[in-house]
Amino acid sequence: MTATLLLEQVFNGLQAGITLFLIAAGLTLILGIMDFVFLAHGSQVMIGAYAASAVTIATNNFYLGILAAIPITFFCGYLLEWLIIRHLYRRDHMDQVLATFGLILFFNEVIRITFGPAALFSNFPPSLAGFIEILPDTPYPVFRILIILVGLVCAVAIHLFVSRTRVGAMVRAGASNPEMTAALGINIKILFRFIFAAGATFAGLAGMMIGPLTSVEPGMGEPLLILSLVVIIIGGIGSVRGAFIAAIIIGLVDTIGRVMLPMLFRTFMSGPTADTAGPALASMSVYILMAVVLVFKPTGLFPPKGA
Amino acid sequence: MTSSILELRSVKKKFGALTATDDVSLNIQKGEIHALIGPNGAGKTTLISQIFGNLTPDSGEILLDGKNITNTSVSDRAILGIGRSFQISNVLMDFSVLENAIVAKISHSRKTFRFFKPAFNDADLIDGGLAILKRVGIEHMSDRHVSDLAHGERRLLELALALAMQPVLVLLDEPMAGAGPEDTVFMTKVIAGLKGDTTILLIEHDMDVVFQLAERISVLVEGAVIASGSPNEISNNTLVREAYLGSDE
Amino acid sequence: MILDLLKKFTTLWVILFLLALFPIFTAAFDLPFWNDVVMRIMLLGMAAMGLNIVFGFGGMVSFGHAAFMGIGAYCAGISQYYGMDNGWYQLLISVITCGILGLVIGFLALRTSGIYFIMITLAFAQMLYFFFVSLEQFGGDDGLIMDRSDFIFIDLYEPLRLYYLIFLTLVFVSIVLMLLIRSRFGVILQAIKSNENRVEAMGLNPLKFKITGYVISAVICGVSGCLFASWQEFVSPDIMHWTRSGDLMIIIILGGLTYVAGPLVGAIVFLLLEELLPDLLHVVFPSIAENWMIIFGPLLIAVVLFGKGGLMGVVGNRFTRPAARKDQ
Repeated sequence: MTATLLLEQVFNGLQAGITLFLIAAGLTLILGIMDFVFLAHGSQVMIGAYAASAVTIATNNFYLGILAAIPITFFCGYLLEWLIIRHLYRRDHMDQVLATFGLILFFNEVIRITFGPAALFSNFPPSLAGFIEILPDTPYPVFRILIILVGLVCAVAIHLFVSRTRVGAMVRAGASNPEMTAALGINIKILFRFIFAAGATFAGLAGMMIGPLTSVEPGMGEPLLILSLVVIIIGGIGSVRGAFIAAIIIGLVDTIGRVMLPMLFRTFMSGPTADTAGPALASMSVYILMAVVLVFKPTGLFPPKGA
Repeated sequence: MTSSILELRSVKKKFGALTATDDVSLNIQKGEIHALIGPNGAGKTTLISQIFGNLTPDSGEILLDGKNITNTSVSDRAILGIGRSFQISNVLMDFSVLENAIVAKISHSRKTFRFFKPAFNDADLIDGGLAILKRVGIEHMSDRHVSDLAHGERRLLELALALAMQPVLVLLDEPMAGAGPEDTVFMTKVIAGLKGDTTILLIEHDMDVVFQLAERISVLVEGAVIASGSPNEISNNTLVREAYLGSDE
Repeated sequence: MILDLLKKFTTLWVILFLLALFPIFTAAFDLPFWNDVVMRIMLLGMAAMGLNIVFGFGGMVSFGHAAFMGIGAYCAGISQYYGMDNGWYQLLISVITCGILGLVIGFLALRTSGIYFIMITLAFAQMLYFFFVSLEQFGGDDGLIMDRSDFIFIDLYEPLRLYYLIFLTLVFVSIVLMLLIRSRFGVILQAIKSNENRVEAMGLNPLKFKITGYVISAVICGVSGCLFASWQEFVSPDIMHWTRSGDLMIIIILGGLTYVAGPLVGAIVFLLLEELLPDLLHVVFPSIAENWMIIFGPLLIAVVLFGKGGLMGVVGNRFTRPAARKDQ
């Protein structure tokens, strides 16, 4: 394998990891602070992707699509929390799993009825379609670089918010000790709704950005949801820092595994067999990683302090 | 020295910067009722939890009847003969009173991996369960569901469950907390009736109860034992009066 | 003892009785398609009953039990691929494989609790899912087409033989569960769900009981999967997709998780809705007849929000009690 190809895969892995982080950042707080098993977070990704694609196609302007989709996803998250989620905080985990599973089914059908079962295609603007030389003779798509940059900016913003602001301090207190937050007399209801809507927006943003790279279709959020759950568990539930590190690890392992494993297998099995076994085993490796982490550290790599 | 059933040797436990148990050494004699008192937050429950195995000390040793149990699991300690009632009553909420006792009886019999014969209409188990309830005088409420019981009644049931294993040492964490005056009198009588059968380590805030029951008292303040002795010695100890009795009343 | 069970689990026996007679009904009205639907109900109901040992009675939210169904199905499929058609052997292989896997996964997963447990069980299921996707030799993603297994003395291609094989297995599983839940082991498992601390304080190691329950439930799901392969005449990783683990949980909650019969009731309702909702929608809103999930999703949320105790709880007595209690 050439160094160029490897470098390209590392960048692809980073881009996948950053995308996963955007989805996992809100979800880890929802799981950690609200002790709420929210499975419909993948639907937020789908809503973001559809909102952006639909507006982009209608107006023929990618930036306008993003601009419109951000408030839409925020509002969706806000409304969802107010309508349904807040009634489920005090329920046990199995109730939460089922109700949010119901939400997944509902959102997928709504999208299917509105936009049809086929995938939606939107192109990013020509200005972003080019390549950039990350190293001499190593061109890399500008759009993917942009995703990495936007993701990093969001990660820094989330980090500063959680570690430097007063509201962030409440969030941290809540992640390590939910009872204490209540005892402090913080307006939990508002805090929860805000975190929920913000989490939905970041997940939606991930959907908007990967929309042009993948197919925007009903159910597109579920594989991402499962992967971001893996990220959260490995990072430690409630830890934004853990989610970031775990997301990068998972992104790299998954992406590089997909390329490297088939190559590795080809040395001792036939080409076509190696080509199908490789990617599946790369997907498997992510879950093996998670199981290994949990067996040795049952609360993840970076459990919030005090938990 | 008479024979001691439980011995703590410089047990220490820290939570972050907070020292919850500060070099505690303690001797509980076989057959006595030993009270552990101290102001709120003195670390009484933390200490009991280490004796029962819910928490492990950072350093020091715990010996039950001369055997080192510092790192033994909760269930193994229960088998070795430690029973416990918790501060917040801890019974099987979805079961009836008799069913609680039957589960305790099954555990005590050690014959647990039986997959076919129904347990709740097994005559032997029912008799055994009723005997467990009788020990604390609540066999008349055997058919009631635990969720319908009053607080004091639940505490009695919990005591019965703790005794079901025929423990050599019973840890009672505030058995009177939240109970009405009548329940307190009844519970005091029940505990007094256990004297001689087993050894009791009692945490209690109600000083009347403590002085009525205890043969020896240890005082815990900020994680450390500041005095240990007979009720008379304790009530005359100036250190204790200053640190605890004076300020709390 | 049988009489005792007859008295105590009336609902379950009534359902089993109706299932036994159902083919007569379909023959009389010439509705053979419904035999197929009912076989599916029985298979999923059986798997859900197995899952309910840990889920409803043991309080462990396992999000990966479809994997054991899948393992059972692949045990049948792969055996046949290598020319071993004997269904009894295939069942035996399924039981052993699921038992061992259940032991390993249970041992590792039960070190965690709460959300971590939900997620680690999901992770193991995903691992197995992708493992079978990667097995190109057995069809990978596309699956493996197979014949019905050869149960000596019972030719499954004769009419109704498969139906009654599944039915009798369901009866067997039901009896095992009725006994298990009221046994000492079952009582302790429910006590652990009610209060793990207290059980530990009684000198029992909860982990041993949880793992044992986990293994038994894995084996039952494996048996269901093994027969599922013959019913479907096809095995693919889809049988162990994570959404099927979700379906199994939905089935249990719909029916009522503190009842032995709950999962079976749930399976009947779930699969009837799946069959009938599209028809119903076709009459009311023809344009979205295929999108029956848009009704089903919110229905699920409503059941969670308002219908504690499931259908068994609504139809039966108003209070959910452990099944071990005398008056169920």
